[in-house]
Amino acid sequence: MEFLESLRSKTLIKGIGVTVDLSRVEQIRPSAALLLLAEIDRTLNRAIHTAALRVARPADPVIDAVMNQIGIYRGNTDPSPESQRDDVRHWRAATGVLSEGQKSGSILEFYDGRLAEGITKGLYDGLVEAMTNTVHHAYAGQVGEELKRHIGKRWWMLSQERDGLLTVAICDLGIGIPRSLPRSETFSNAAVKALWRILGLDNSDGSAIKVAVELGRTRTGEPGRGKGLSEIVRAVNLSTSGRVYICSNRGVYASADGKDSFYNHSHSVRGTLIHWTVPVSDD
Amino acid sequence: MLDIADVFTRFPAGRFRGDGPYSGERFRDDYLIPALEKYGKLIVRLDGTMGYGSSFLEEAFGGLVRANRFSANQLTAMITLESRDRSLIDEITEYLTATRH
Repeated sequence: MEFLESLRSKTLIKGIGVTVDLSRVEQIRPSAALLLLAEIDRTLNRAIHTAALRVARPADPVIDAVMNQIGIYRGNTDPSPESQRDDVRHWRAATGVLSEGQKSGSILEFYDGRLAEGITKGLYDGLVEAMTNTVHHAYAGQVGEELKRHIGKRWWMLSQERDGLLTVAICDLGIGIPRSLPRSETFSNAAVKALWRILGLDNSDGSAIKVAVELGRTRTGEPGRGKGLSEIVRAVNLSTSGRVYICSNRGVYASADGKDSFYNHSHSVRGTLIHWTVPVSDD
Repeated sequence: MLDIADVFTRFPAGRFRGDGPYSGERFRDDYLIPALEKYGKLIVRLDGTMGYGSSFLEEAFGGLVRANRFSANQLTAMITLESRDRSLIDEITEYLTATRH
């Protein structure tokens, strides 16, 4: 997170060209790769000159091929052909500014027959609701926040299969759930505050995510509306080893085996990142 | 018979037209309402898609009640939902019967 904050500071605020040095990276988690991809994409989209950002490629050939496959080198002049290695081609990335089911569906169809019954549908439902939330709420910035500048209402998605687990992650670089929840047209401020009080929560970002999930479950507000976050959690409860993390600004909400928890980090993801892990059977 | 995967898309997503190419609003206005007006009674086949986000379903079916062309009672008599997933039928029935005007 500190690294991404430094990258944002240099490229977005100071507007100086940078080289992102990944030369010593030996492993990377999908969530970290996704946030890096999103920040690089945002930097390149707002850059006036093409040399605004370059990436020094990892020495590790597998990590290098993964970074190439997901589009980290978009600003470089030295992209490589796609790798056919199993540990590389199982990384897939997509991005968009609309709620586009085909983009998530085509990633999930790759695992057709290898995910437990209901999980493919549950992940699809969660992904398209996350996209719709991005389009409706994530970039609802007030004057001066200028969040839409150069990236539209953009989301980024990444999937990886490894050791019998499928990880699917989607993120945006918007205002985050803790800031969008009080501005919601679906839930009244009174309903949000009442639930917050009933749950006895503090004023942290983690608590805000918990409240948003519970609002979807309790159907407070307009009938049928605002269920998106609870729908995002529902898919993993169909599997005993499935889990989901919703990270928004400094808050984290986690759910596995029907139990949930929430906490806070010292650094913000400055947006929302949703990360599912579900078991996938062999080919 | 209105088979969503066959006549509309296998990848429904989003609430409003501006959300994406296969939104609930577009399905409701361009497919569902015209079919109801033409045939009166309609079987809506739900299987065959990758899934449905709740935003899509609420706008397509809850929005049908809000459109005020048919009452909730009329709609439950006119539409037969067909799916192997009982929870999907229950969710849509809830939208058809609980929407506020």
